[in-house]
Amino acid sequence: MTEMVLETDGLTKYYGNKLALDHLDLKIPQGCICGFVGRNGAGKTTAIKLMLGLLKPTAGSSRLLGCDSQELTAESRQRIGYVTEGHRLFNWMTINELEQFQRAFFPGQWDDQLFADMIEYFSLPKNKKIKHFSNGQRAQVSLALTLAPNPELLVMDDPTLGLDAAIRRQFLEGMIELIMRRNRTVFFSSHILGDVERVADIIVVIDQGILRANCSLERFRAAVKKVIFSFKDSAPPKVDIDGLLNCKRSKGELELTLVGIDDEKIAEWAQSAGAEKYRIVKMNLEDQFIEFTASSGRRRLFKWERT
Amino acid sequence: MRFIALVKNQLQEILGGLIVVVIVFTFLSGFILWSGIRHPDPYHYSEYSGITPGNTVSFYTLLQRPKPLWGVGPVLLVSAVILGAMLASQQFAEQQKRRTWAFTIHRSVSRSTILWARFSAAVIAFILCLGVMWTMFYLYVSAMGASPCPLPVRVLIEGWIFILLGLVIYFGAALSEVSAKKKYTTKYFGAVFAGMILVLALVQLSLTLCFAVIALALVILVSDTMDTFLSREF
Amino acid sequence: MALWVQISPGSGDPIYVQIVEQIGEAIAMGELAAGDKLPSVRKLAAKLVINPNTVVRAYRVLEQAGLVNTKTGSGTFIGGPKLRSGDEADINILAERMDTLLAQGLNLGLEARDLIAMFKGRIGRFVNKKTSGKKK
Repeated sequence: MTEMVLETDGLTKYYGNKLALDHLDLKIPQGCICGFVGRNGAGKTTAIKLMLGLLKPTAGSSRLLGCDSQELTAESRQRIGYVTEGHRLFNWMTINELEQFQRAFFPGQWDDQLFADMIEYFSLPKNKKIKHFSNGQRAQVSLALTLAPNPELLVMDDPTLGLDAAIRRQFLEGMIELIMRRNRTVFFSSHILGDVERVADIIVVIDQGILRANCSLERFRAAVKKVIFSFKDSAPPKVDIDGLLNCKRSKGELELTLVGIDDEKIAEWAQSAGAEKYRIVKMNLEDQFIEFTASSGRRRLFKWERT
Repeated sequence: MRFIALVKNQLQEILGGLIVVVIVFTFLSGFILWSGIRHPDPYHYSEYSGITPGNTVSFYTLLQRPKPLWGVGPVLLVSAVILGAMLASQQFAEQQKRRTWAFTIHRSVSRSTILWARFSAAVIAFILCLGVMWTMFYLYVSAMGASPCPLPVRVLIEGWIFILLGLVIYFGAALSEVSAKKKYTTKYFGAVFAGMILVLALVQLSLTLCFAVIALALVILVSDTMDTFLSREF
Repeated sequence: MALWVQISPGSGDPIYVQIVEQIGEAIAMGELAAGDKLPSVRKLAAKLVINPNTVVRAYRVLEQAGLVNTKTGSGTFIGGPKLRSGDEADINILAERMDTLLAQGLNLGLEARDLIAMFKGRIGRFVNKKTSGKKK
């Protein structure tokens, strides 16, 4: 039985009257990389802060490494690495000072060599104050400070926001390197679906505070499909097919986004609806995510076709 | 080990401000002392008839006290208050502004330890910055016989009371900064309370009552700040 | 062994499929011979900056297809031609895949002879490479 390193149970958060998180139920097992995706303001940072005990839930609970988030012990926190949103560090400190500070909290756990290697690899000046660093450099310091203690659970809140492609790649490399050690787990939120597609085992999709998907990445990739049906005259006015997510019409054509429907059913429906031909469109994770979180029946912003 | 790292971190952060306060205080006090020694003020000396237990600590009469050392009193009080406000701002308001609380709180220590480290750093700051300087001034004036009359220990104690009042202001300001209440509601009650205690302490007739007021205020402020900090959201 | 595999997450194909296809092509074209060792899971994952489980899955698919075999502790090796002759079950799977391809082709509006021409043209690439371009 795999241990759950991260569990939430009906985790809910209201800010005044505004619902930020609605009954989040998650179970993340040990040894995987979990990509936590959602649009801006969907509730990702709220969820992560709740899990780390920085916020208090309105209802529900969460546990990290078996310990309740609101009562995370010092010992648990020592096993959890946390990359905060925006990589906020003490501006007035230098890398050396930050290293001294950080390693005091991980006695016997701090990997001097790894930290030194990373700082050298990133070519970061050790005696300059952080306030003179660029966003990218600060992120690199943050990554080094978080990986050097060799955490069992690494929680990252949008770690690559605003960073260039090279630094994003470094973060992914760091994640892969960590996950290849025994019993390590990574939980990270991201907007870059390409990154999630590369490294995640599990994908969790949250939309306006509500959990929309929580499954293996394979399953998500296989489940969300876009099919374009062509009709001789015009498309049927009503579309009744299971798992319909979105439906777009154009003269004689119907573009359906479906979830969890296998190819045979699609062929069946095409026949019953009288479609001349149909084509399953290849989608990458970003396309799938956009379709998945789009409000149904949304229109295009910019009209380029005249129907 | 971790506690020391936290305290050291705090001291490093506030070092700049401390140095400024020490320099300004020493310079001003030194000047007052020097001018007091060089140009004794006859008016004040004639008023002065020695310390009796009945004399109050009050700020008003302090101005009446003869130089040289007691002239430093007001400077010390103001410095202490400014130091308190400054420390509270640097330790709590800055964190909020720079959004580094998440980084600070997620440590392998209890949250109360984090707060105690800050308080300890502040107390150390007060002692090193003002306490040591004030005591040295007192010892210097006593040793040099520069005062026209014997300098009672009460003067030293009164100076330390001013330093403690600065500490009260610190805790009051800290409580206000840590409070998550809205600005137009009870957020600033901590600072206001500390200000009231300042006045209340200074009008006391006896040193004992003065200490009692301060001690009570400190207990209230420290426990309230601790409560607020432990239950706050970041 | 200079095996290069490139993946692009945005292309629309699952990453493991891209790996399988590229290795499969390399084998078919003779760029990889029987007995060649594929990079270890960890190495390939680190090189491509992808999850190791994706590599595991790709290797597993290749093994199920009979193209490679994995010896625990030693690694994953390209299977010899004997291994790749394919038994009846494999041929059935291939037949089903061909059906899918053909159905898709017909749905795109291609005629039967177009499809056959396409097959002929493309298989030429593989066969030529296989007989003449073999390394090692």
